[in-house]
Amino acid sequence: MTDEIELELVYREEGSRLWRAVLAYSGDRELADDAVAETFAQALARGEGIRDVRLWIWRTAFRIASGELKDRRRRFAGNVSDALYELSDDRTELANALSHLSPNQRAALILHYYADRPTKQIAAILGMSAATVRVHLSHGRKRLRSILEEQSDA
Amino acid sequence: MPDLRERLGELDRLEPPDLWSDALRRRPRPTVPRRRVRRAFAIAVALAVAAGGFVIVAQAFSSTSRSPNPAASDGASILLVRGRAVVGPSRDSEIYRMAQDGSAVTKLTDAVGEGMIATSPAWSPDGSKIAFVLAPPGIADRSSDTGIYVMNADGTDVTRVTYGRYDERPAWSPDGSKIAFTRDQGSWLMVVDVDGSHVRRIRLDGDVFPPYQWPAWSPDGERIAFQASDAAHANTNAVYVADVDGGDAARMTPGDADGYPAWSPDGSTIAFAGPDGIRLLDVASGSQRRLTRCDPRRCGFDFAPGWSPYASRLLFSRQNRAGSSIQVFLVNADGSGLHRLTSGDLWSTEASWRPSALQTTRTPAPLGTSPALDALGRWSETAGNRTMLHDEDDGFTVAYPSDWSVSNTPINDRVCSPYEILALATYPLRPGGDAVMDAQLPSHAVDDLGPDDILIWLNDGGNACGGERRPGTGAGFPDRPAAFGPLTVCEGGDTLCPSDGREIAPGVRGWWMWFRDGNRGFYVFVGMGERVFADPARAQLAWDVLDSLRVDPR
Repeated sequence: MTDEIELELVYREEGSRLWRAVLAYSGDRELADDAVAETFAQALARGEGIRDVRLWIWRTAFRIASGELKDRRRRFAGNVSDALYELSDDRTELANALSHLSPNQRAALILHYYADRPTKQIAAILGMSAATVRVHLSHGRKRLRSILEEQSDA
Repeated sequence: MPDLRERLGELDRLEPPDLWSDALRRRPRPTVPRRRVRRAFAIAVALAVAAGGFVIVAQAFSSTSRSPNPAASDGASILLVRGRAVVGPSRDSEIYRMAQDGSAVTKLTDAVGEGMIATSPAWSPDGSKIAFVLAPPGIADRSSDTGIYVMNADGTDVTRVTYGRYDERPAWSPDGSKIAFTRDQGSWLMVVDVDGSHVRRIRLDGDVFPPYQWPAWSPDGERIAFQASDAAHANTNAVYVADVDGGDAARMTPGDADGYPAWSPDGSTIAFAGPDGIRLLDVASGSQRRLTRCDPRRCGFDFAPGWSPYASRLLFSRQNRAGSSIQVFLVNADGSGLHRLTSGDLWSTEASWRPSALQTTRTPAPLGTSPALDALGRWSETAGNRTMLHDEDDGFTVAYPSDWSVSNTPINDRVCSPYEILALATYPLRPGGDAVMDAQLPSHAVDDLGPDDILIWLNDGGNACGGERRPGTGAGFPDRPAAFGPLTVCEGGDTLCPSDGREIAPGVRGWWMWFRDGNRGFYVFVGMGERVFADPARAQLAWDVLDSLRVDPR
């Protein structure tokens, strides 16, 4: 039930938020550009093969970004994830704080607090159980708050 | 306590690009099965990043009227890519040339001036052209504008060859007529004629899956090595070799993180990057040996090996452990002599050595009965059965019978510095004679000398240097051969003027080649330096000795 017109509508409604979420997750603007563009390219190619296109694009974009980050870490075997983390050209406190979280914690927090996704949908997007998502949310929340508080105290 | 929803709402300040048009232009990457695709994509991107992160796009690079870069033509035989020292895709990479000692670094491209980046340089087999990739600097822009280009070795006459999607990793066929490359971030292996015609896909036969990366044409022109994934282990990448038509694709390395294959000039060995260093794969036996050790936890990551024209040394890129820098290193083929060639804030990677024309003749053939060095000298005889050779680095031009098989290895500069030597050696190949070929002169060559062989070295005082001696003759060296041919030193005393019209430029450096017919062969080393030429008597002697060498038939 997804033709190009409908998909473009989805892009116009969700694309910006999706891009910002993937950017916040990956910390790399080009990676976010590529993940989102590739997601919609794949959606276009699949046509009517997608049941819930809005959930599908979030899941696909995060999977692409996640796969790329994992492989970069494996290949570079160093602090590449952190080193790559440049949310914007002028680094913000938020970017710095997010970079100190694990990828799963980061993804869970972004999807929950920025994309307003319930736990069940976050689990579907990230390919994990809802219970695991709650653990990541809990730990990530605690850590992010701690870091942000430290920054504001400094 | 900060409100996380409010804080994350700061993200709304970021303005996204319009990616819809990019999505419409794209051909999505392969999607079967999903798990493999995701990982394959990740590998492709990671490898691109590892290599300097230079996958990319572009419109026509129109600087076809650029001036030749004079510094690029004098001995600067190594191509490399340099970019800003950032982790992640470099946004301002350009192609440079530099000398073998890391000096004389000269920029060949001005891609940044065109709003592009230049990457993936590849020497043509005769060293006269360079294929490379021009692309916009952002991943999101990498659509149909990423293309393969060809330019002269001095950076002039840039011509676009391909107009596909994400065309990258050009690799020349040994005859210089075709270029293999990857398309769509490694989704396809492709071949195109150098003039841009006959673009076709290499349809691989076998259990081999994308992303395909780093194609490398075998020196005999029959096969292509590349990096790919195994269907059964989708999160891995290994080195594969297939026929040029895609048939008989076979996995060559057992590891799960092997890539960046590079054929040795004689096709016997493939250098590749393993997870903890560069390794050398013997193609015939499948055995491996370690060339460098670079553990990710202690050292970093070694990748993108490239052979010297004579197979005695290899260039490679090393990313440091922190991932903050990539520099080019040089190592002897036996693993010794590791040292860094580049430094500074810029990334330097994808280094490749200018091929020697000598390696383009590959078919073993019986040695001729004519005097070998006589043939070497008659460079003006380009017709008939003589083949022109030209070694730009050494400014030395020679010819040899076209039915000869030629391979070669550079002289080790430490023999007698600085190039104040002349040495000739013939030797029968011992079993596994390639090991001899790969060895550094003089030790192995001397060890292999037969009773009829000749070895002459001269140092400043006209005495033998290095202490090596001819086997079976005690400490002495053979007398100067009697059958010297005619040769004179030109007026002024700084060039050789053979009677046949040859003209040998001053400042010639060491030059070394190796002939074989499968089970026997001989070395020829010629070391001539400015001081040699400054002494007419010794210059005469040097050339006389060259002219004296004879090769017996089998």
